Amino acid sequence: MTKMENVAIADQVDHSSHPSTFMGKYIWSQDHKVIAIQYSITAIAVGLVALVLSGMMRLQLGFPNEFSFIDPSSYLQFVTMHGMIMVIYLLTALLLGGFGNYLIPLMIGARDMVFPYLNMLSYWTYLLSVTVLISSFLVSGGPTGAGWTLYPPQAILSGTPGADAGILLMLLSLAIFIVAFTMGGLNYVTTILQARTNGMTLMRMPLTLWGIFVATILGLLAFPALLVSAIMMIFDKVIGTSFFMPAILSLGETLDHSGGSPILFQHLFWFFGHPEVYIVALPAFGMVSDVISIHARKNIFGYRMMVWAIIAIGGLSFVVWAHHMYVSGMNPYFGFFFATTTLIIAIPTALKVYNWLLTLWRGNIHLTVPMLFAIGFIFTFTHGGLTGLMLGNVVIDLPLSDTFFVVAHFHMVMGVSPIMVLFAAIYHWFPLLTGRFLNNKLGKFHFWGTFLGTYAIYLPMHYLGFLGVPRRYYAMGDTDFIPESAQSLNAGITVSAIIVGLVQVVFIINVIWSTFKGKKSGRNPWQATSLEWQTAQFPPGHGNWGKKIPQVHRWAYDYSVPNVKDDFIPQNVAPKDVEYLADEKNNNNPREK
Amino acid sequence: MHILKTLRVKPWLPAELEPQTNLPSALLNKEKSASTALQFFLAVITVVFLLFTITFLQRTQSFDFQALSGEPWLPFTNANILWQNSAYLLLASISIILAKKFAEQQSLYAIIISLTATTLFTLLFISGQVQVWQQLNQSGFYITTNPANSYYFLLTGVHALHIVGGVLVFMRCIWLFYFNLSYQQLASRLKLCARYWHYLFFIWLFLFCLLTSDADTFKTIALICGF
Amino acid sequence: MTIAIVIILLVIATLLFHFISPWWFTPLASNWQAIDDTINISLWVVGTVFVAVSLFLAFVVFKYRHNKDRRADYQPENSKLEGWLTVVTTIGVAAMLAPGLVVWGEFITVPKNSEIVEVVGQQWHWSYRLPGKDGKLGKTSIKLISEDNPFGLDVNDIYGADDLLVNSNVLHLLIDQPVKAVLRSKDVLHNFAVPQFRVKMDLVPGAVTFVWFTPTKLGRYELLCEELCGIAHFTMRGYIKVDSVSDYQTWLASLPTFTQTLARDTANIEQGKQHYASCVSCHGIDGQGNDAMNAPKLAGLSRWYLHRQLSYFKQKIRGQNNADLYGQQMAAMSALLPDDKAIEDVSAYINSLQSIKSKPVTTGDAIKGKSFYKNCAYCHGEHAQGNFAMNAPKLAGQHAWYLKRQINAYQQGIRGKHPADLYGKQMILMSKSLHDQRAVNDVVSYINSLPSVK
Repeated sequence: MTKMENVAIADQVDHSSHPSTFMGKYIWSQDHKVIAIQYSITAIAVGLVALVLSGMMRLQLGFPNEFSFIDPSSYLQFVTMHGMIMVIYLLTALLLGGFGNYLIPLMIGARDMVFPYLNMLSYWTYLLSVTVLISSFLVSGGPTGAGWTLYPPQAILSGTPGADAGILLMLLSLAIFIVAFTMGGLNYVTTILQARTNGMTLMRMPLTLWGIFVATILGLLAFPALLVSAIMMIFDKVIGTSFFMPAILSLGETLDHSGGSPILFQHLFWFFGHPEVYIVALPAFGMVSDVISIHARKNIFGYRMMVWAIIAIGGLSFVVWAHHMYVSGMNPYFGFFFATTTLIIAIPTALKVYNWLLTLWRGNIHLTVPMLFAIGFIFTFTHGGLTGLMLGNVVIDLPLSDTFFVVAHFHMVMGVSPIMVLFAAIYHWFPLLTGRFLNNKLGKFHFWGTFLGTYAIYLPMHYLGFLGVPRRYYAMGDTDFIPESAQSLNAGITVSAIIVGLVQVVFIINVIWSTFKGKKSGRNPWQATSLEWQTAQFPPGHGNWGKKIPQVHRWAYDYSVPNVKDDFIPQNVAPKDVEYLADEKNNNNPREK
Repeated sequence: MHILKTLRVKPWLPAELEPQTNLPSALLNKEKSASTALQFFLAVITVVFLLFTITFLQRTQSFDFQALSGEPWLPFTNANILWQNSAYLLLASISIILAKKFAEQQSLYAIIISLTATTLFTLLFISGQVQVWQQLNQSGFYITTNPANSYYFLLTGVHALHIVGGVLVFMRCIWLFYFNLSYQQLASRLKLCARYWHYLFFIWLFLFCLLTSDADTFKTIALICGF
Repeated sequence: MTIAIVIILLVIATLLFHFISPWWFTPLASNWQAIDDTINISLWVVGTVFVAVSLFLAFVVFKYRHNKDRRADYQPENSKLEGWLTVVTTIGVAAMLAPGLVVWGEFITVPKNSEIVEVVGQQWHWSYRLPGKDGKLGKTSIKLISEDNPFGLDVNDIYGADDLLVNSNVLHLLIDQPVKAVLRSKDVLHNFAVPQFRVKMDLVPGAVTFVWFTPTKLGRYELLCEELCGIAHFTMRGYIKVDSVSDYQTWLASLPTFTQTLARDTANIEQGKQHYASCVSCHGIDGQGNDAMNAPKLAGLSRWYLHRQLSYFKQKIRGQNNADLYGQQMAAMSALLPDDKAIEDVSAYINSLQSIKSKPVTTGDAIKGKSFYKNCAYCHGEHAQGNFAMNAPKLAGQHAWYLKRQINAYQQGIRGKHPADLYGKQMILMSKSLHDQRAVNDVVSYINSLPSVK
């Protein structure tokens, strides 16, 4: 980390020895682009499972006791698997394993990751972890129903569904995932630090890379906490140690544990869990910055502030974890500290929102599908971020924690917002993968369905939380304090959720159809400056750069530079090759002010 | 503060110095990359052991914690066998540096001897650790009887796993050398292996001190850390 | 273009929804007005920012939408503007944080004059303990918990002897009296939450946590567990009844001390047998039940369950619904038992009867029933043997028609709805996970197929 000046990479020509068989090309491939697609397809596939699970939960909540395939056990199992899959196996894997893998070498001008073999291993290990996770649906007792936070003691006691095989498979799968992530993560940071092409200084990198870079470091340092707690919980469950288990009863029987602390697990879990939020958010912040800048034809406003904010958020994310634990029974004085740090982290986050808005300001905004998703992101993220500011403010958490307000908040900020960015990114970079656009009409339909639909789900859900409806309840039954109208609100939310789910089918159809039949995009269709669009072969082939790797001369945001003919200057265009407007040809470098 | 300077650069302005154009050799770059990756990996391991340690220190203050040394009947009041294991690991760490030196000097027999020594001492360390586990079990210090025992088995186990992982990488390195690695490549790989071994040796020393402390020491540490 | 309009519409819709929606906090019933105030302040701050940012977004998108003849500005940064924005944001954040921290300070400082009450959580019930005359709670231990000592109190601790035990999920509190609720869990994490009081706190096994509040309004409030605690988490409810002074004293007087609960086992089986004479005509001499008389089997049921149900019948808690014809009969018959002692005696007698296995009547699919039964097994046991700790009666060996009728009664709210029926509400919630009559038949067939073990 000490040497952060621009270090160039050798032009490793030996890498472009092309594999020729199908297996070599698409299965046991070490090409970062193929691995990225493998990661993405796996993540999206398992994400669809989680989407279906959420649909089933919504059916039970919206229309209690109408659907016989959902009983209290399976409801909790759906809750747990939905949460875990979405947060870890979909978002983390797709953002870092998918987009990280695809974009890092292309954006920094490298031929591949520095350790391609390790990269391939990372994917197959990830696939193994997904397989182990899914296999827990098939074992007796089913998957664990302990909630995605897996709090002991209940996670490993018999009062919880899946407390035998289910929880062990879950912990095992997490451990394998962490191994996979560490292999991938070491690759990403090393590649960014050591394999940047000539002229690509750290501060010339697109913000996408900054987001991925810092998020990967967060992941490397935060996932060990989950690993540690998983190992200790496996010991408690299998061997009978008492790391997290105090003297305790289980369904009336005294167990042989003593002295352990359940709160300790919560500290470990959230020491991982909170940075995890930013592991998902930071790459999303980065990618949306680039999408906004490119489609508004304007440089990102306050690039340095954006980088500093990413770093600040990353650093601060390690000292806010206990804001998930205000009512956990931890030392109450911690509340002061964690409330303060939590609200401090809001400041760099707010600055990022301002800078996105100021990037749009006096831009020339093309309302393409990626841009629509990006605008949708700004809206939903503002909404979710502000409710987070409320929850972080320790006393407000007292009535609202463990209610649907929390569910609505984190879905808004960690579900809908990153997914908006993911869609923006997919629509934006799809031509790079396939040389074809995604269908525009279907894309717009997809956007409106997703944007309006998710808002219709989560805005009303906050109000269920105000009412005091607790989360993770299979059914509310009759209560004195919840009016019956709340049930119709719940039904409405469910209908919206089903609609949003169905709209995603349109997206899948669009992807499949456009891969083969979509409109040809041609080279660099969005007229972007960053390197990934400047490859010799388009879409980029094995080895990315043909004979010679590019030389970088500028930052990634030279859009609409005054007096320059085109409204963008790719990063690899040398100053002497820039074409100026005819009448002002005699001007010197117009950017010197 | 190099990093701060880097982060304050205004990248939209023309660079004061156009970045250099001469590319380092492929081999050098590969070595540098591996070194960076190893640094990050060691950071990851540090976090793992750091978190274990913090939970351990907190647990030392619970009522049912019985430290493993201090009183004459406790297993590590006399920790000779652990000292012996430490010596093995130290010798392994030294011999791996020697192997690297010899690889630079390209003397094949010396390399073979020192590599064998490394393997031997490392395996001795692991078997020594297993022996301690057996002794603990025989004298009734089972993994579940006391949190101190649980942590002893857990931490030494995790440490031993890291050593085993290192041995696998090390073996692969020898394997490759047998087929097609140059002396120079071997040396650069052994350099990283050596760093890993040293690191694990220090982790082991740390664990050694931690796990064999007596109750009073824990009390002091906990007081300082504010548990 | 459309997106700008839609965003403006969404802002308007959000504001309308906020101000018109009937779904809002339940009326406050404790001293925590300060929490509500903090929420209101924060809502105004974040609401203003939300409206401002969204409208600005809409404006920018509209104003600077693509125009072929215009070029975007080139402006890498503006340190002054960014500096100002940082300062303004910091001030806004500080303005939100400050009241929060002040109120948190109050929340963690328990007033000196507060009364202590212990709240005990377990899967999936609440119970409570008051310190008694000496004002001190006695020591407890998980290892001491048994059927006779469900709180796990230490007999040797003098402070424990006069502790008042509330073996029910209803806690009474005195109005305007600050309460420090000391929270303890026997098994997993739970959470003590009463929406009307605003505050909540986890119950952590192996530790004691606390929360304080002053109830300020008479009434009965639902207590919810809000920390996932296993399969029946959603049924873990209790009640807090805020009483006037006289009602509270009456309630206090009705509570047994720990010493009294230990000395309670005075049941006389002989007298119980005499009382049972009036039950024989329907329930049979061996307590085997009689379907022609619509009388369930009693032999094999545990004393505590019989005692609870007989008390319910006698106190008009069960058997009051007009749709529950046979329950009403039983409620009338229970009047023959003059007092609690008689109930205890007869329960002990019935418990001493030998259980004879009833004929399995199969109307459903026992194999399918087994998969439904897994949700029941958590409390009633794998062999439907019942579990005192879970307050769950034995089901094995009971007549199929009776089980079916009771499940249906729970589903329709005929049984278990009375506020004083402590655990009936759980069964109402759980029974609804059997979605149709076929599922009920299946699960009953499965229970019927189980061997009746004691």
